Amino acid sequence: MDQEKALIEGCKKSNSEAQKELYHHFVPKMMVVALRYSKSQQEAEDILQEAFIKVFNHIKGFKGDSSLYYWIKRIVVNTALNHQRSKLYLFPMVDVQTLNEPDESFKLSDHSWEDLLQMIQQLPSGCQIIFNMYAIEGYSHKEIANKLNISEGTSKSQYARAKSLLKEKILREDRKAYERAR
Amino acid sequence: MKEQDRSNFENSFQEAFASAERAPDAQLWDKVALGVAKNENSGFKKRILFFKLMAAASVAFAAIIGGVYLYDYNFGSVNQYITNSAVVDNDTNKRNESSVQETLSIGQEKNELNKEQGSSQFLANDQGVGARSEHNLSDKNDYESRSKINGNSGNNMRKELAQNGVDFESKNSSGLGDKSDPFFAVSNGENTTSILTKTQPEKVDRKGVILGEDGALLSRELQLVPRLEYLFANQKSFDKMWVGLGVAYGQNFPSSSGQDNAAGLASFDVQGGSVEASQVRLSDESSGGVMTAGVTVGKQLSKRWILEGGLNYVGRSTFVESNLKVANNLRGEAVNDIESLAQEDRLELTNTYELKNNYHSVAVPIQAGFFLVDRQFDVVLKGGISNEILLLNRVEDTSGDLKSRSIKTGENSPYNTYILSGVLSSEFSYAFDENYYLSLTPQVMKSFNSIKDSDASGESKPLVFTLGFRLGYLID
Repeated sequence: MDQEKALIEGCKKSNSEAQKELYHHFVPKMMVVALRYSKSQQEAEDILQEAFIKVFNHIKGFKGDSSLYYWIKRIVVNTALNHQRSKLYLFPMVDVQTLNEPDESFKLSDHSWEDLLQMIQQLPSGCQIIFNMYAIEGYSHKEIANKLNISEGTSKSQYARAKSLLKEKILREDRKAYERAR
Repeated sequence: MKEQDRSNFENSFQEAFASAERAPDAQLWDKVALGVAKNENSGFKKRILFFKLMAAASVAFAAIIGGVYLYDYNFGSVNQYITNSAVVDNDTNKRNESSVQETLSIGQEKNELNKEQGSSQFLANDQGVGARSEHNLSDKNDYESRSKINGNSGNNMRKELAQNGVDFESKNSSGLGDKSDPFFAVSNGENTTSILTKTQPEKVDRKGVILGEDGALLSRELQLVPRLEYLFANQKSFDKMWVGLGVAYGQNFPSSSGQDNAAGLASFDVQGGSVEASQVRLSDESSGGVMTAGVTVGKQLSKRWILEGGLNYVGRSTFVESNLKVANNLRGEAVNDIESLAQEDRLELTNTYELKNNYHSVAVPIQAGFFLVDRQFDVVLKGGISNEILLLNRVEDTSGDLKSRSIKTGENSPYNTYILSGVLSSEFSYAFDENYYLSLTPQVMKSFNSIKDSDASGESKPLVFTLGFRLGYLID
């Protein structure tokens, strides 16, 4: 904790060594966050580059109300949303019919996070963003609706569609694995 | 989202990504560091933009004022003189007409007074009329004394103008009784008709005519001729000299191009031999700041023209992105130009970093100037050349990771020692004391020859905008 405070103080003084250390400390986790909101490694790195520049330019305003990890993560997510906003504008999200409700006893333990990441990246852009925000970041549909300037119904229906598509993919992968095992 | 609303599905995904990590490309940190450095410089660049705009606006303003003045100087002087003469004539007419009316009024009231004096009852009952009569008598005395002054003044001025070659229509005018003489006509209350139909004096065709040596009389007489009074009041000596201490800040646009890294590497025997041209990233120089400080000496050559010189220290900077370093020591040194390296230097590739070139030089500017406004507030438009002697370039890594290097000019240097530039500037100065003035000096300077002296290094002919402040002392 003291080390984190020292890093923050160093970054506030624009010390390049402190900036470098902070970057290397948080970037592996943030890379996964950026990957979840993007379609490729290159796109994720663009998001990260912009996000970390924002982090260092605004760190003087960081008061320590939340942990540094969540503060940086919020900047990465917001930067990713800004990146995706243009896509949402081009392909406006509309309410879609709610498909099969997911099984409450659904297990993902057989799948690595890399497999799940690949499935998430294959979702349509709107579904991908809303799934990340709701399922992983923990935003409510109301908060998502406010952030993306859409209706709560749209958020719910897009999430349901994402869930359904993911479930199909997971079941398909399970079936393949089962066949390979046989 | 409330915890109870979350299904096993969401929780499973959240858990799966809880400890997920993946390293991005190693070059990403370099990009982030560059972006941060650029943003840190952006505040300074915004301030520089203000100076740049101020300099451009001031030069444009001075040029417009100059254009208007030149037009007026070349085409407007005759019309101006005619207008001024008309004002003088009109003023004289007005004064004459006013005097005539006064004279008539005095005559009439004199008669009234006589009538009133004949009627003691009327005088006794009407205090106002009595008071008015006294006033009119007083007016009359005042008027007569003024008429005498005018008459004398007219004679004196006429004589002195005649001595200086001024031709009057009435050459035989000899003072009192001459109907063509406006001064006489005013003094002679009986000849009111001749005043109204008098011949106007011919226009004086010499602006700065010296009328005589009697200062007090001349001053009084000049009050009657506004144009001449104006001319004499504004007579100045045109042999002013001044010295000034000034400082200026601005932006340096290096206008560099044509750096050939392959050619540079070909001429450089790379120690270790592992660096190839395709791997080298050495960008052209981008804009930086400029600061000058120095002393100025100026002399007024004529009413409008000045000559000014000085001695200035000039510090200018540019920025370059590089991925080369000299690995002669543990820390390594920043490399801005392959041509600047010595044969014994060991060159290595490193992560891309930003470096700053700090050029230090001494300049001797010589400018001719033209006074657009020469009052307490002066405006001068200046143009000339600047002879700059480049001393050295100090190359420093902006992140501070690599050691700085100094590249001197001279033999085997990638830089020219002498740089000749064209200068266009304007100076807005305010004399806050008899001898002291403060001025604002926007300036544009463009180099005629390149700072760089190598084909492989490319070309750099900087364009510089500065805005300076100067404290000057006028030498009597």
